[in-house]
Amino acid sequence: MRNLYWFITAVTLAVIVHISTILFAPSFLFYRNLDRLTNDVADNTFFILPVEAQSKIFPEYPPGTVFGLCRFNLASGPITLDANLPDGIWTLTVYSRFGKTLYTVSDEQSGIDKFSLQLAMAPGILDLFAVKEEDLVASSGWKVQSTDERGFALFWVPSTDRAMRESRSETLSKSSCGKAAT
Amino acid sequence: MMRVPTKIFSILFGVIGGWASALYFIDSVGSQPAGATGNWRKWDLASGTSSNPYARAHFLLEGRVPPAQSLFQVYTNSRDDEGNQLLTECTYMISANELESRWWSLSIGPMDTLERDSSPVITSEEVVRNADNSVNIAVARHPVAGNWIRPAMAGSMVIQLVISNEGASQSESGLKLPAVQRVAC
Repeated sequence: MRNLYWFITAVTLAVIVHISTILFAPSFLFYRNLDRLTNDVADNTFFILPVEAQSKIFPEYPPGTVFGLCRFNLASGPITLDANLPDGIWTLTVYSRFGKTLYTVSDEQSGIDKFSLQLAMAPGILDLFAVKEEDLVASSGWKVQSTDERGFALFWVPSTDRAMRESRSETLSKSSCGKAAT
Repeated sequence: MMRVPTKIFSILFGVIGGWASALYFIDSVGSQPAGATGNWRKWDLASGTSSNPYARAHFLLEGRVPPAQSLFQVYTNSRDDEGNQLLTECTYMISANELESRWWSLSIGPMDTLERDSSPVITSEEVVRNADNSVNIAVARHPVAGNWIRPAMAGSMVIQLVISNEGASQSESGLKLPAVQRVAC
């Protein structure tokens, strides 16, 4: 009977460790790593990822590639991401802080290189009952709703060499990320 | 007298067993065999699938951002077409005949510590194609004429192929992934 108790304890512990290793530890380690690499940049600020940080988070992309990042925090309200992208290939992916993909768009899908995307907290169940008809119209279009108040939006722009990287970085750096006008 | 060893054994079994099973499941459940030939594995990052948390953990545990599956497909390969483990001491030729996609990148990992003169990544934008549009890429620690990738570290290695979904002319079932042949060792 005593052995059965310890057997059940071992199996329960194994299940907890397994779930933690898959669901919680990766997100925690990743966000801590991202925090360390972008330590001096405030939330809701758009910036071009430096090459050194880029090679750690995106080792499978050549150093010429440009990554633009906005770590958002929706605690104090919606955020507007004003994108300014160069001609050619690009993608935008919005992730939750746990690395879960919330939204994607590419140059082929959007057809334009300048746009604004609003990021907001998803409404709770009670809020859904209070939605007015005019709110439904306002919520259509370029809007992403997240259940997680923190996350990051990531622009990817490939380029073949460092010279091309400079010009593409310059265009992308005209993008911005900040509190939405009310 | 038996109680303490049983207690310690149970806790150790739980912790090590849970951790080891998680690492095993990340490889076996997070990825699945891909392509008709070779030893490529595809990482399933599609949201809502049971393998998704394992595939996501594969990227996040290494501090990397998991690519969005709606935009990119990620394949890895740690063996040549004969089934031997890929080693940086050997020279390999990666040949792709019908890799039609708007953008792709081929890289050699691990890349924890990049050596100064390593160039472990090549993309569709910089690769030199043959007259028939096929691509040959050599993987070696020493210089090779033509397309060449130099692994960043000595030891065993993994090839990673990232393919943009847009402009891909083939369905996933008909996708021809590159052949990996050992040339010398």
